[in-house]
Amino acid sequence: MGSLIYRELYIARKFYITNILVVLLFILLCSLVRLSMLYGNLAVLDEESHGFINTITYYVFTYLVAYGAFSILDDPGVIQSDYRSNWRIFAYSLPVTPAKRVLVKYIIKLGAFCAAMLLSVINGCIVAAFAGRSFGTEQIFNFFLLVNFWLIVDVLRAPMMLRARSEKEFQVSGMAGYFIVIAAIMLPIMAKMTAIGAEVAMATEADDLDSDQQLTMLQERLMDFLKEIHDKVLVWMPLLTIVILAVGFFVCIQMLKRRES
Amino acid sequence: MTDYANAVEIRDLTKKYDGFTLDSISFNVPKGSIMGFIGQNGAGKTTTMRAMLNIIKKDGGTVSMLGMDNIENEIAIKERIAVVFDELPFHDIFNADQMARILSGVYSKWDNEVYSQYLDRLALPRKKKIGQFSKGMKMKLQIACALSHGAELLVMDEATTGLDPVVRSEILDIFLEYLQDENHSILMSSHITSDLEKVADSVTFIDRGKILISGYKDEILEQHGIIKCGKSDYKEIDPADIISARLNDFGAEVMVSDREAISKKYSGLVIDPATLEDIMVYYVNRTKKEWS
Repeated sequence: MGSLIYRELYIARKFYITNILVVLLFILLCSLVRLSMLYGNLAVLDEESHGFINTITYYVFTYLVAYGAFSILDDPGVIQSDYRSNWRIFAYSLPVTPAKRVLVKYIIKLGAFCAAMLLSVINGCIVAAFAGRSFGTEQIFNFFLLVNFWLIVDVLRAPMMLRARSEKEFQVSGMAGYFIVIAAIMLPIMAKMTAIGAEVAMATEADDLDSDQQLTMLQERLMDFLKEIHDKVLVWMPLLTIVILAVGFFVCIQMLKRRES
Repeated sequence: MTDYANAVEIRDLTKKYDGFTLDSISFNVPKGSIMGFIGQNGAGKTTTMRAMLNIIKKDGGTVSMLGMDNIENEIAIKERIAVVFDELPFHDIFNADQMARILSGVYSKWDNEVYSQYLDRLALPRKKKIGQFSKGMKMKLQIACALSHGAELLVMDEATTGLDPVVRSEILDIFLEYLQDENHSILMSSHITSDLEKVADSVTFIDRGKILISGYKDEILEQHGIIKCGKSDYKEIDPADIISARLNDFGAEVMVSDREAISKKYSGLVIDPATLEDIMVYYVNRTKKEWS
């Protein structure tokens, strides 16, 4: 199995190296901005502006870099590359079971996940240190939510990509994973937000609220809703991820067991 | 190790596509021999090979390789066979050394020393990327990989197509050496019949999804012949004796399948030996009977 892992990593090496370097570059840039805020031209800002920028950059630098780090979990193009080179057909002539072939991909994905988490945690510690804040489990759980998004996208599209027989099918398979996850997440959220908006509109009419009161009520309701989702997701997302990964593993094996037509 | 008489046994293999059917084909590849599997483009050679290797799902029939069922014992079989395709299925970014590293982890009997010897013999560079290889070099690399893990059966799907005569000759010599071990067998599909005439022990001819001829090459060549005759002589030949006839302004060239009997029946006619290519061409036109 080691040789197959080596094969896939070598094919995808430019993808992984490039992504890791870009993340490291972003960490460096964010650190330079923070240094400038402490000792450079951004240090001359008034206290209120400084505090505002400190807060914004803390969240942006922490989670933007984490989002970039988790792009390491994106598709490195190995399945497409195997299709173009005819390795996919040749692989059927090798004494390698479908389970082993899928396990290779999962092991690589686990390695990418660990690399992404490590980079995000390192960045999070640096940003927190500059901002004079603590870095702990809350941020790590939030990183975990981000990685779940990428993992689920990848697990959803992998079986489709394993069966794709043209460049067009590869593109559709690649995008399908994103659309399915985004639709599954965004549609219920947007429906609920619309319902909250409708509730606020009805309350405005009933209680004769002015625009500031209306906006305040809307913000409070939305923040409560988002917090509720955040707390629920933190609880059931890890289990859902494990289930999706396990199901995805067996579906991929079945896809490889199905023979070419 | 299982004992077996035939390296490959195919019985009533069937595969249906829209517009094409592999129709209950059956043939054997005796252990220790080279079987040439010939047919024109689209005859069903690759479909047969892929069904045999379980790359495509068959609709019926049984396939046994090295004495084992090709589906129940798929992994055990593939540990002991090697497949060579018409195009190199390795990524262009790897070199020969890296391919050895990959395949040594796949095959338990991979032998780096044997692989190294083949690379030297075939003058293949170890560090050059495969993408920079010529077509002949790519095929040589594929064959070096195929012969470096103690495979008992080589399955080759149009492996010599597109190669120049020098490279083809080099590869055929390697096959003959490979067969010096009586436990080794080769199933080689091709439409380059001249290669098969040089090395094959037996031949199976497929056309439009059906097996037309299968047997020892020398017997097939001995049995078939071409009568070159004028128009008047051609009219005397019983149509039942004719596989097909190529007509021209002067007469006809008639393919017959039993030279000895035909030479006795039509004693005035001269029957020339036929090549595998002749047999292929005349059999392909058998439904037309007369063609030009």
